[in-house]
Amino acid sequence: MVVVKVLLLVMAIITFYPYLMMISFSLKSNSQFFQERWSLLPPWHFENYLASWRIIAPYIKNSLIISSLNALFASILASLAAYSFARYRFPGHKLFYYLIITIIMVPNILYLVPLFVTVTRQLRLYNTYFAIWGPLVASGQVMMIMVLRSFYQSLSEEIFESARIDGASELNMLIRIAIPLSLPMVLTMGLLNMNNVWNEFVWPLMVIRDKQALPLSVGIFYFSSSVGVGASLLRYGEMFAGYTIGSVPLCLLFVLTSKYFLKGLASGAIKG
Amino acid sequence: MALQNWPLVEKYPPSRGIRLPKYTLKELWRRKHCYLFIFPTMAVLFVFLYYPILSALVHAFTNWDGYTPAKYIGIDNFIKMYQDPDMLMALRNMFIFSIGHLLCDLVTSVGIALLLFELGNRRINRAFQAVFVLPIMIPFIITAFLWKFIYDPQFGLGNTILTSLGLRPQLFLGDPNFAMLWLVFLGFPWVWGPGVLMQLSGLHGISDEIHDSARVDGVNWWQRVRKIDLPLIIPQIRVLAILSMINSLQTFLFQMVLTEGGPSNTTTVPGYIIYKQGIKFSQMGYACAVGVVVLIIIFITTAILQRIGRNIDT
Repeated sequence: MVVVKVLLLVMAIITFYPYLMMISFSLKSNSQFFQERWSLLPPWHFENYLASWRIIAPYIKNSLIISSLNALFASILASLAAYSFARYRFPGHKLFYYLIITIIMVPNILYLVPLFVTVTRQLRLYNTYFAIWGPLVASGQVMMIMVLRSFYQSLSEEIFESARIDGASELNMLIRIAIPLSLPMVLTMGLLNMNNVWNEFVWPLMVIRDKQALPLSVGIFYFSSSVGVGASLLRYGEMFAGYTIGSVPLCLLFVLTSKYFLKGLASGAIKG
Repeated sequence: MALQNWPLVEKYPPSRGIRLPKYTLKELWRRKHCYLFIFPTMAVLFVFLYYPILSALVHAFTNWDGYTPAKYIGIDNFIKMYQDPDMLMALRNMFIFSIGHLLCDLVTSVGIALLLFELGNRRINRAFQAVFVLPIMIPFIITAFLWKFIYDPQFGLGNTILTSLGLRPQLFLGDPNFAMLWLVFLGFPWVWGPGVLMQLSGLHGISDEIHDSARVDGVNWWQRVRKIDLPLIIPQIRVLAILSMINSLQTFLFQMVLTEGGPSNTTTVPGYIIYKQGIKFSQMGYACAVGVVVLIIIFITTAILQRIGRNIDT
């Protein structure tokens, strides 16, 4: 048993080592970086964080807006659709459902170029956040629909029967009964969706032009090339401080919801 | 509850005993809420997914460049692909990357899941699970840049470790021969939280009786793992394998951010070629054709993975 714990501990340390390195570098000044790179001694230069915060903060705000709204939209659409697939039997329900789940297998690079043309030329959404929300909601809701459908199928019919006798309309039943029951699952999937959107790099790079409107992923890319390797002014401490700040938001979100999130993940958020 | 047994939503019960959906306009209108609920989803899917996919499939056979109207040119794009050395290098790299990642992902996920399964204890188990899931919350870009630094020949951690062990310092991503392997190595130890949790829930699904009778029969740990645990979590392993393959066959983030196709195009992958040709050089027809090839490869790979699992299953 001790062997198991030691092995797990070793794996955990190796997994986190690059990030620990990042934090230790973020507290160094340039001279410390070049001369005593691997030591952890003070003096620790916290002003690196102040300097990079000014640059990184707008990107974090943008990412928060983009990803949380994306998760919200995807959740709403997915709840509606999953409810319909789960509880109603209507002509075409199998067809539409199969259409939805085969999307998963299609590589997103296949339609990357036509999607760009569609979004920028035909829909004229270039340089707006809707250009990001459109495709990412579309692909994000697929997973949610699959999971939520099986969840709604597991709800017993009696609740809905009694609600129908009481005179509830279909929409009412969805909003007041089904959705509150599925909230834990929806929150877990929403968090996963937020994480996916947060990590999107290529698409925002393509459709957003204003530097101030960029999400964090692209922002860090530009930030790194302005203060890091290849820049005219090498400020390693600030670069790593910027990376550290960029890692914080989602990690914080995860820490706050981890019990929920782990239960949701294990129970069925990742189905076959 | 099987879908067939649920009552149809109807205000007026059918006059006959059999409940068959009638494909008349009146019946469809009575069920309009079913369709209304899925309308937003289907609309978004159509505009941002189905239409671009169809557009890509069609334009793969044209010389589209985004501005002039596309002209049908048959399979010229595919012939051009066949003759392009970049494309062959890209395909080679794609296989190296995806199979390498597949092995790393499977081994670490199943290994850590087995260890966590042995632990059993609730609180420590959950603590470790949180620890292993946390890294997915760190943006990919940051991990990529950290590893770019690790791979820096002058300042990086990689060469520091190698030289302290007495080995020769490497060029890592600057090395035309091994850059791709270093890209596969990136992310060591490749722990993917959700993957671990998936395998762990699979292990928990194995009924205790099997383990108890195995313990009574006196099998040691390795035998139990090989003969009982692994075969019984084949479904979960299959899911993880498919997810891993689908993801790694497409990604070109590393190439964009770290190597731009590598020292003299040795780390390029089809995804990067699509981006470069389609967006930078406006060869959109060609890019769509490459996309179609990737699509076919993914379909074949997924089909193979589904089969392999099934054979071991029975």
